Amino acid sequence: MTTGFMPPGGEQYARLMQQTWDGWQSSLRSQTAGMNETGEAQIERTLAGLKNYFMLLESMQSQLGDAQPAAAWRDALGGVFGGGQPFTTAFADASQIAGGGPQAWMQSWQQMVVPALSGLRETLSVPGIGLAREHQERAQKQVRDVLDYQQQMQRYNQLLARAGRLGTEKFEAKLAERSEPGRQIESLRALYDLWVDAAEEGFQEVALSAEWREVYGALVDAQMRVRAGTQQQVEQVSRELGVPTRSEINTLGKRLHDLRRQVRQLQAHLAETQPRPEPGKSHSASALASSKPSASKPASKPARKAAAPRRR
Amino acid sequence: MLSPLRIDPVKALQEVDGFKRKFAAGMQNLRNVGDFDFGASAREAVYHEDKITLWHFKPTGKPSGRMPILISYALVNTPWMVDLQADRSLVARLLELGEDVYMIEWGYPDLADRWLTLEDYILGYLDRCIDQVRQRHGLERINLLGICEGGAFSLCYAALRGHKLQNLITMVTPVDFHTPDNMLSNWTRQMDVDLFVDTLGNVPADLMNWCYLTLKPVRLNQQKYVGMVDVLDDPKEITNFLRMEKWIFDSPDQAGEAFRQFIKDFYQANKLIKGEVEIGGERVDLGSIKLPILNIFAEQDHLVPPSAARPLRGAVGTTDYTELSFKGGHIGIYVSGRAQREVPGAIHGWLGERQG
Repeated sequence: MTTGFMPPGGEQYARLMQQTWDGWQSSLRSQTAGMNETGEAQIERTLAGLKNYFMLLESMQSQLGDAQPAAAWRDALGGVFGGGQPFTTAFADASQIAGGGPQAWMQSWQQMVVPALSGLRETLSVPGIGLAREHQERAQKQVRDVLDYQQQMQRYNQLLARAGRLGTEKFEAKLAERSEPGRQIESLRALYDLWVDAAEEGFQEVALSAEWREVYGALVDAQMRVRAGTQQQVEQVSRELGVPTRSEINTLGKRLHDLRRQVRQLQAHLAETQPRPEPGKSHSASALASSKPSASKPASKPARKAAAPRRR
Repeated sequence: MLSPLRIDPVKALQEVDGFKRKFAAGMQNLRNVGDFDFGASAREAVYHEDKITLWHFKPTGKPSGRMPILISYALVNTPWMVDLQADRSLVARLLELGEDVYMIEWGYPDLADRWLTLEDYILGYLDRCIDQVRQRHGLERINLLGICEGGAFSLCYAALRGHKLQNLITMVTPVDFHTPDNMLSNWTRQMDVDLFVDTLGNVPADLMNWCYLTLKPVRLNQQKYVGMVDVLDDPKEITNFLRMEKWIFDSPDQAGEAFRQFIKDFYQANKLIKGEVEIGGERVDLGSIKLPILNIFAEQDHLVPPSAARPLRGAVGTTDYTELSFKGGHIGIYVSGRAQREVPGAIHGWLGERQG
């Protein structure tokens, strides 16, 4: 018979762990008191990513006894890892880490707009007439696009939830495999790593499916329609105010790009009509460089030292 | 039946305490981390065009007098993964072995670059960089080493302008984009890429990174940072960790038109292996590639699974085809200790047998 981890006074232990987490977080905040806001935000993000792991340590106090039913494991770990929705949590983390991400962008948009939508639903199919007809049509489409985006996001979240359930099942199976002498898990970290393996396997199974492909594509398309509609509205206002628009810059960029391409083609054509070098001089620069655009240039002088690559 | 857990309470408390102390102490180390960057090897810029730079690395080993190698990296992320730091550098090891190494840095496209197409990249920038290297060395042909998306570019180039190449090395390069374990492909197959690019213009780097992070959402957003605590008390290791983080997230936006074509033709229609890709109106027939090829892929690559890279063998026309299967992942193939020991030497040895 093995001995599990069930210290006496479980409630006190739980409180201790919570206090430890709170104290630790508070301590780190105080350490960053002199840092700027960005620095503090970075610390907060780091802590958010680690909190799940730390809370795992906390939760084990009442669940690590002998012969615990599978459901108890699932409940305990599910509670720690995002309430059984590990991917929602992880994706939210990713949005923060990635400086906003697509979900964060839409969330902020919806916070502004969605509250106003409820009263508009019934007007979405009413055709516009008169001078403002096109404006009304655009506004209606924008609302329909937002509602569609919400629907697609709902389908997407359902798949994430399914992946979460699959991960939990796989975790239980992995735990069952460890119920033999010599294979038991002996550290909280090993338990966490096992859960991560299971969660990723569950996610992979769903994310490689044809259903995911369809839902993911629909979600991306829905978000792009909302973005495009917003851009269209902004451009409409900008034009009225005489502010240059993205579309106008795009047009200029496209024309310039086409022009550069034509110049290159002409240069290449000219090069082909030039007299070829005599045999024996085939390694000359003119023979090797098939087309040398005027915009390009060899570096004028070597860098004195290896300059660090920089975003331009 | 035994419990799956055999965790000693005292050890568990020690584990918690140790984790907490490491993190707290590590915060001090984080504040003390000095400047760090990537791009370890000495180099000079030998050619500029628009936002691209052609770098020539300065030799460190005994020059072997061999034909130079030009590295063509992917457009996603910067190419400095191949020269991340002195002791984790494919470039540094190749230089030590006497190879002459060039590399293209594609730069950071802005919205003025959104109209750049694959033709501009492959038959434009890449071709002119190859000409520059040929010209500098007075050579008809050079060696090309393409990585990931840059490997796909290299294959297109070899099919269309193969007479300028002596040998082709592809690393973690997708060829068949429709294998069942290719998650990135599955995610892109049904999106409306026209709507996507028309809306976004260029594809923001943050959006690309968000996508990559969510391919392994728990491992890359949580577990990685739990693991970070393990090295927080080691200034050298935390610097290495942060350097990698910087490389991951300091990435360029994607020029819209090139992205559109790459997703449509390569990911969605899988045209590369079908011989249906067209670059600047010229059809890319992999079967026309007759030069020697070394195809290196990573067995645990979640971005370009081996199943996507291996089909190159049956698609190209060369009779001199070699595969190197590396035990590692998409990034580990450049920076792991095993990679330092195995990959540069394999490239050097393979090239040595095929000098023109």
